[in-house]
Amino acid sequence: MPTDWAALYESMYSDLVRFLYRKVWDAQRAEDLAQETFVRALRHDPEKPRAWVFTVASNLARDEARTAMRHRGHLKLIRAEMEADPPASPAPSESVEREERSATVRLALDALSERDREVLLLWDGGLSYAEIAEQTGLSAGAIGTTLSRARNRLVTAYNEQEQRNVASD
Amino acid sequence: MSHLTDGQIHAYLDGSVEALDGATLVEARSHIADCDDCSARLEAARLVRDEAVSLLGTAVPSSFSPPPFEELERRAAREDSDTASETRTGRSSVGGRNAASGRLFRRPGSLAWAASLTVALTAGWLARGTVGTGMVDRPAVVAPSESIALQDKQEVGTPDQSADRVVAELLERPVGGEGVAGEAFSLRSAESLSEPKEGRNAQAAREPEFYAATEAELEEDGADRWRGYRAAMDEVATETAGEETAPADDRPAPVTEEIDARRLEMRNREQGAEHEPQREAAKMARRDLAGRPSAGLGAVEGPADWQPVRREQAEALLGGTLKTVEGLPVLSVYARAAGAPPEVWTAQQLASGHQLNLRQTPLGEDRFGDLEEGRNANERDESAADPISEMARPQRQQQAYYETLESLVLDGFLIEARAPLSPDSLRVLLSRLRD
Repeated sequence: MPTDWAALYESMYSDLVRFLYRKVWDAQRAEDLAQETFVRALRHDPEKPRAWVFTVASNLARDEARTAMRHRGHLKLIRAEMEADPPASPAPSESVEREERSATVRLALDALSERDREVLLLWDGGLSYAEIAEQTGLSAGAIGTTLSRARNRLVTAYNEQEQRNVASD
Repeated sequence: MSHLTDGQIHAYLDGSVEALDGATLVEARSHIADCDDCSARLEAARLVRDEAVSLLGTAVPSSFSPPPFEELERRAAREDSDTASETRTGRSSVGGRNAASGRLFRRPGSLAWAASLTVALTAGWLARGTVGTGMVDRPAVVAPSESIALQDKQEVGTPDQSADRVVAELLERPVGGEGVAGEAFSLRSAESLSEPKEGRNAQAAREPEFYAATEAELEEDGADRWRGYRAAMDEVATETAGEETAPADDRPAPVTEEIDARRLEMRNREQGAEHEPQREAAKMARRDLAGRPSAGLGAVEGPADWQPVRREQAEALLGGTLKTVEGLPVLSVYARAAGAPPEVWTAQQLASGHQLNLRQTPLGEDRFGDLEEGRNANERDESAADPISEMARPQRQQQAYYETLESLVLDGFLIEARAPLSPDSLRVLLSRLRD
């Protein structure tokens, strides 16, 4: 039975962008990678579209991270320029809080092991235990254990980071 | 049913039918209903999961706008046509669409490694004639001056004087000597190497001080001495310029000793320009290919207290079987009966071209006495004319090789083994020790 890619695209796009955003931490790049993933999927027409799409997206994000490493020096320069020239109008406090919380979640995610983080993000992306197991090479029975550990560590790491933020303020 | 694991609780919470099949799911539900502990854990897990979901919900782009699906379809079609066009024009090896299934061929990019491997193997095969590895070939023994000449030729980049070619030329000359213990290996006779040769005499004329240097002096690695040597060499070279063809009878005769040309070539190649070829040649010239201090070309005499013996002679001396590593060629067997207990030293060639040296001695009272005194068996013989120690010394000083020493007791013999191998590799080799 042919895959209804249009319906799949509609249902999966936002999940895929969120999944990619938590890997590259750049909204525009996450969207670009999501679109690239779907273009590849259309060309390859894989048998298991959901798992295939997340696998390719994960690989693209990994390549993106490597590229980002190479351009880190350039990004530092840009960041320094931005700090030296702050925006004229301050962002609304709600947006600032959101940004801060997002940054803290990012730090908490970074505290997880790569496997735990991958399983957690794939589950949040909507993949089933079986699909996660197929992509990560774990058994389906181990996914629950891994998810349990990943969730606990994420919450713990987030709380610890929050305490550090409060202490530093 | 026993208490649920954390994994089962989270799988139950997520409604995963893969992790909990039908029967297990029913059992889990029943157990949670009856078990206060698991019920509390389930609630705690639910809180953690919701908190994690909430946190992940904040780590999302503020807004995004998916492009129309048709745009992606056009892009995919465009890339497909580009790929097909590249395939037709031969500009790319990327596969096209499979008309029967409507799916793409697997891109052959994954075969790139195979192509690379094929190219590397082909290049290696074609280059085997021009680059002499000498790793497994039977070693040739030449005079130091020959090796020096070889190095000189290589350094000036003469293309037709590859190592194989030079060694082949050398082997065409009279060859004498035969390996002990039934293992024949080629040693050039002293007579053939003593024939006057312009190259060697000229080399000797340029380096009288070097050839006259004692063993101990040559093994000093001080930079001052090296500078002094270079200055002396340059001075003599200036004085003897244009006298290359003069008879060498009135010049200091070079020490005519054996050397393994391939081994020297490999070492110099590995060490690059940091080690002067002549200096390395002279160091190695004072040992034969087995690392034994040389007493003469083509001869098998060792130091006074070490004598070449055949296997049966060694076994008679030991009063037991000679232990060697199965599958490795035996290069030489030496015995020392002067002291008690008798000792037998065996050199075997490794596939890498290096040597495994084994010293076997009966476990007599003297040996136990040494151990009781806290002395290492190796230390005991360090000052003696021990071929193994002689072998080890230059390697330690050059620091380009490392070697491992292992000792074991087997069938009433203490066996010490040295080889430039890792401890694990040496132990594996020693596990193949056979009578």
